[in-house]
This record gives sequence, C-alpha cells and structure tokens, in this order.
Amino acid sequence: MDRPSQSERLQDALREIEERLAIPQPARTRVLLELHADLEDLSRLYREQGLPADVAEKRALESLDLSPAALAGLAAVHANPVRRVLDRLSAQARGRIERAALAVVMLSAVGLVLPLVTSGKIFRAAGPFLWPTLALCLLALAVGLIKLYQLYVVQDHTPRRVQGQLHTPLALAAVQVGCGFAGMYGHFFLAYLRSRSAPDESTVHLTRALLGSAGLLTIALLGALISALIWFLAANKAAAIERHEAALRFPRRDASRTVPTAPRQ
Amino acid sequence: MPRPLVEVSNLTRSCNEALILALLRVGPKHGYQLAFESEQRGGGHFAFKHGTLYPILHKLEQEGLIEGIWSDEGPRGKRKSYALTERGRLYARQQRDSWRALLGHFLGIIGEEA
Repeated sequence: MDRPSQSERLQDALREIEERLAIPQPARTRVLLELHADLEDLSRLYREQGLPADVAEKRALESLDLSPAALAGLAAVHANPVRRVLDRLSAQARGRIERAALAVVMLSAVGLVLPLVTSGKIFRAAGPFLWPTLALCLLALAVGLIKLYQLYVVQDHTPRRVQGQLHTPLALAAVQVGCGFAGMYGHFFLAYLRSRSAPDESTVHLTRALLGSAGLLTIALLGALISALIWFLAANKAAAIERHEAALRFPRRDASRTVPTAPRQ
Repeated sequence: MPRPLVEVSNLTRSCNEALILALLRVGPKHGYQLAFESEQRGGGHFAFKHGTLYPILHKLEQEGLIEGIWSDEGPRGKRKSYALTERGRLYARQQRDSWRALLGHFLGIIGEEA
C-alpha cells in the first residue's frame, strides 16, 4: 500500500478534525486555518532540529491530539452566548423552558389576534384575496390535524405512515405567506388602477390598500404560524418514534443493558 | 464578575493560563511556539497537547486578555499569533503574585515536619 505523502497526511488529519469540529462558521474555518498553519510550522521546527521530514510531521500530528474533550472545549468556547447558557441547563430544564417558550408564543399570538378576528373587521378589510389564503390555512390545518391524530391517537407507527404528509403543513404555511404577499401586491395594484381613474381619491385608495394588506398579511402570517406549530409537534413526534425504533434496532454498546422505553405521548 | 486569579479547584487550568500569559510577556507568539517553549523551558513537565492549548488560547482571546493577530505570510499562507493586551499584562502580574502566595502557603504546609 502506498504511504500517504506529507501534505496528504496533514490534509487527512485536518479533514478528520473538520468532521468532528462542531463549531459554527466562520470560526470553524479560522480554527482549521490556525491548526493547519501551526502543524506546518511545528513540523518545520522539528525538521530544523534534525528529525527526518516524515518523523517530524508524524510528531507534529501526535502533538495535536485533539481528543473529544478538547473538541468539546473548543466548541464550548465558540458557541454563541444563548447556546452556552442552554448547555449549562440540564436536558430536563431545557425541555421545560422550550415548552414554556412555545406556550408563551402561542398564547401571545392568540391573545393578540383573537380580538381582531372575532370582531370580523380584519376579514372585511382583507378583501377578495382573503379566500385563497383562508383555504390554504384550512387545508394545512386539516392535513396537520389528521397527521397529529395518526401519530398521537391512532399511534400508527409504520414508517410510511410516520413520514407521509409530515412536512405538508410546513409547505402550506410557506404558500400561505406567499399568498399573503401576492394579495398585498394585488391590493396596491388595484389602488393604483383606481387612483389613475380618480386621482382626487388616491389617498383614500391608498389607505384602503394599506388596511387591506395589513389585514390580509395578519391572517396569512397567523395561519402560517399555526400550521408551522402543528408541523413542529408532528415532526417532533415522528423524530421521537424514529429514535425509539433506532434504539431498539441498534442499541448503543454502553446502554445495551438498558431497555428503551416507549416515547412519551 | 471578575475571574479568580488562581482557582484551587481547577489548578491545571489556572496553571496552563499562567504559563501562556507568562510566555507571551516577552512578545507575540504562535500557538505551536507556546506549546514548544512551555515544554522546553518546563523540563518536560508542562508539555501542552494542542488539544489543550487552543481552547485556552481562544478563551483568553474572548476575555480580552490576549489578542489574536492574523498575518499573511505569502506562499506560507495565513498565520495566527497571540499577544498580551494591556489588561492581560496586568492580569498576568496579579496572577503571578497569587501563584507566589498560594505556593508559599502550600510549601509552608507540606514543609512542616512533625
């Protein structure tokens, strides 16, 4: 077998580090550049001390010795402040905080928008573009709720069932937002046409367009938010089911004596 | 909150930081030079593995005690060296005094004969 050349050996070592280094960009590239430069220089230093090139490079690589603990140390230094705070929390506390944050977001969204929706003003202001947006929202809700029913109530965990239509609510959420923006454009285009035929009333038309756009975008974004939350719940459940399946099929060596329990409902 | 100068509960880390700051007192150095010099001057007792060195260097840099300086060295590519900041120089001095006091107490205890 051919022995790797000096640069190849260095490149291989750096590629391996790159794969194991869980640091966000651009810090990741900077760390790799620094390691590469220092390895080259250290290898040169050993050569100057009389070691053969091959041995010098091997010794430089040995001195690198980036153990999992060292890589974790580097990752901790370069993690963003939020991540660092979260890392200090236990998994249980993190789960609680995430659930609480999700609940706050949902309640705030509902609390802010509910009075507007129940008054009906927002629907009247949204104009004809409201209907396709609402239709998409209802479709996303229907698909999402059926998915949640399958996963949580029926508990049909066959792989096809788990993955089928899983991401449709998210895709429909994106289309709802797109529809909202298209409607906004429509409102302004109509205002432009009306202002051309009746320039004296252009301010009124513009104000109507602004109100219509605001109403339509509120409905589109609210629908998208609800659809995305449903997708989030379904995707999390699907991931938990798959993790459970994987744990049953490929038990970890260190956890081989632990029988995995069913995912929490 | 200011960092303690020498953490008795984490002597290895405090020792490594003190070595790095002390070696940088004479001027800027690359990471590999710090590891090499520490090994040479410490009679082999303070041999840094790069794995240990870089997280410490980057942490000290984030804390503003040292400064990372990138230089473009033509065909050799980019190189990073580290230099003490003013804050780091002051911190290094205070840390050295803390080490002296700590080692004094330590030797005072282990040197006592019954």
